Amino acid sequence: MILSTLENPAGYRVVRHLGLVQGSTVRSKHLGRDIMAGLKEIVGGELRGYTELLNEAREEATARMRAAAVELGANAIISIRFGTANIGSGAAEVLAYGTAVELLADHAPS
Amino acid sequence: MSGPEPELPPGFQWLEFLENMADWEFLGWSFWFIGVLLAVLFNAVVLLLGAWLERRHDRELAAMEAATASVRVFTGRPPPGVTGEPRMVQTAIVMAPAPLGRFMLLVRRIVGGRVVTRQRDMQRTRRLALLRLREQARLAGAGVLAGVEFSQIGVGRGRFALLVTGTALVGSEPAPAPIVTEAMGAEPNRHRRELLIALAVLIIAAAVTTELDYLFDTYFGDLWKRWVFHVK
Repeated sequence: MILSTLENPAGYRVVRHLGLVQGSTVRSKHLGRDIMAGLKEIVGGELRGYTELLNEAREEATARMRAAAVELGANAIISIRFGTANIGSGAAEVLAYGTAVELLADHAPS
Repeated sequence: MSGPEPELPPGFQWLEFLENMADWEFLGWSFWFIGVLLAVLFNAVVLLLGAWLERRHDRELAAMEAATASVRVFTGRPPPGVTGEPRMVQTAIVMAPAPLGRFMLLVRRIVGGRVVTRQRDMQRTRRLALLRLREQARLAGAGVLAGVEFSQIGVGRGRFALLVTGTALVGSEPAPAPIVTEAMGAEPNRHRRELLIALAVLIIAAAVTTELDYLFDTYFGDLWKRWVFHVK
């Protein structure tokens, strides 16, 4: 499946619009990670535990959005956007949404 | 105000102990002075360590930039004529601000003005996010990264969290000459000057605190003990 943040990927044309698809998740890290992040915060720099948390949340939201598109019979999702929300400290919601479409390469026979 | 002094019940000898607390000494220094000294030392070590880590990170970013410079980045559609198989790339980053930035923000809250160190922290987060995205595009075999978007997330106070997405056009041509974009417009690194200002503020604050304590002890030293403990 083609995933793109662009509205019209160059070299492809949309043959069918199937509608909005979305996927979201709320994830949190365990207390140990919170404590380690608190210690790292004293000297500054990347908080890898939280980076990991967001990356996992992002992947899960994308996978759910992709599953919704597959259910609709799409072969691509275009105009993908991400929305986020802070659910208390140490937890985050990630929402992925886009338009499920059927794409065809320009050089492919219609 | 006048009247009989309340009698201390037996077993309250610790009162005398507390009454003399302000006069405790260690190596000829008062406990208050030692406390201030330890606080200054701890903060100075954290500031220096933080500045060193920030500098090291800047060098890492410069090396990453050199490795991924050929990937061209666009926020909207790619330039006309650029084609390739679209593949979504994304990354998320959570950064804690450098101690120097936190300290200078406190100073700036008093005197106002632009907090350059804090601004640099945020730029560093965006640079790193973009570089990771470019690296993903490069590994996928794309020379162009289009439709790049930033979303900011709140994960705890003071932290910078970013989610960055884009579309790598696999098979598209990379830039003929290396272009470094993330470093452009970034605040120059003036660690040394800022560190000196921060350390000077720290020492002045410690000196003022110690002096105030001395003045308080000289003029009002016994007053609070009389009020609190009814000790003559």
